[in-house]
Amino acid sequence: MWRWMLPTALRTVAAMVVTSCWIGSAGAEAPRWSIVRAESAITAVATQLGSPFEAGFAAFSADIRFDPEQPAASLATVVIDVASYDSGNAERDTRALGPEFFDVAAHPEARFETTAFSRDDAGWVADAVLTIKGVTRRVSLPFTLRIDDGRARMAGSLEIDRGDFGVGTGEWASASSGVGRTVRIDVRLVAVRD
Amino acid sequence: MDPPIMGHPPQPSPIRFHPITMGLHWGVAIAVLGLVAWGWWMTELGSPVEKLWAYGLHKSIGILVWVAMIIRLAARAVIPRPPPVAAPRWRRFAAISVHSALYCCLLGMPLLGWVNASAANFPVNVFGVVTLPRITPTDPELAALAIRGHLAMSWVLVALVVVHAGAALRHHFVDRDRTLMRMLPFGGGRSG
Repeated sequence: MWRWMLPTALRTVAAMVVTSCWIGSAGAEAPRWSIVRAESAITAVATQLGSPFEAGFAAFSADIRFDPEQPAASLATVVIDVASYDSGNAERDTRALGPEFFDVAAHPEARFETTAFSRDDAGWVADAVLTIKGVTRRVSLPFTLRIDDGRARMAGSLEIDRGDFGVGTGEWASASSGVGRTVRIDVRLVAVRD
Repeated sequence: MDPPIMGHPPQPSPIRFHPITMGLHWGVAIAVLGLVAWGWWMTELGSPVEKLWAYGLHKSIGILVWVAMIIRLAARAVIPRPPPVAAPRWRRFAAISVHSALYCCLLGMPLLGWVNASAANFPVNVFGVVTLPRITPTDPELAALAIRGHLAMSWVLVALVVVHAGAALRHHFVDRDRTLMRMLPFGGGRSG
């Protein structure tokens, strides 16, 4: 935990310094974007006995400041209300939210905070820190982005090992439980410039 | 001079069911008895991990039974069958009814299981080899309805199996006819 919190704090301070320098020098802050909820989705694709099943997080919020011409001045924070996990089966949802998996009572939020945006031929990559069940890890989210007339559409996926976040403890820790360790998180956001 | 014979001469009716039919019949019989016992047992399992694996095996074998029954239904059309054993009209009618109901259960139960899994967003993975597509969108009410139907049909199926096996034994031991022998690969005098 501390191992991660210190660098995170340092990065935040560094980001603030860099951002303020940017603002100081360029005088431009990346514009704010608001999520269009009806067209946005965050989905977790886990596996049971090797076969995938999707579950959505219906409730999340995003604080996005983004300018494709100023990636260094761009930031995005997505906060997921873990209790909104919906796999389509009440028994499985209850288990997923229980102490062995998300432990939603102790950790109601999952958090994705970008540390850097970069762009290459294939598209964009957001380097970020992802916090699930109180455990923070560095992740990279490759994504595609299209901005038309103040309306941005992004889509990207990243894979995590649920074990890295302590999601699935005891008999569920191993993939031999029937629940695979690798979980894919699909993010599809539509946002409009404020 | 005799005219040339066109086509094949008429085949004599077989005395037994075709080996493919017998294999499907007995294979499904063993699988289904196991599935019913396993299915009732697995719902009571305490460990959710064991439950996940137990349901997975139940679904895998259930889908095999479904495929076997589709093949069996198709095979009826092409594989010659032994003639029906002489019996009063009501017993012929009863036999046809029970056989039809058995086909309905054996084709319908896996399908309802598949509907339940699809509507509850549980993947159907057959022996880790193939994942079946979902046949319904997520719908908890439909899932509950399908599993109630699946369970109700399991009781109907058990009753049908009792009547079916009872009738076969009655033919064999009381009527002393060839009904049961037709479905057995051995014994019964004249070979088929």
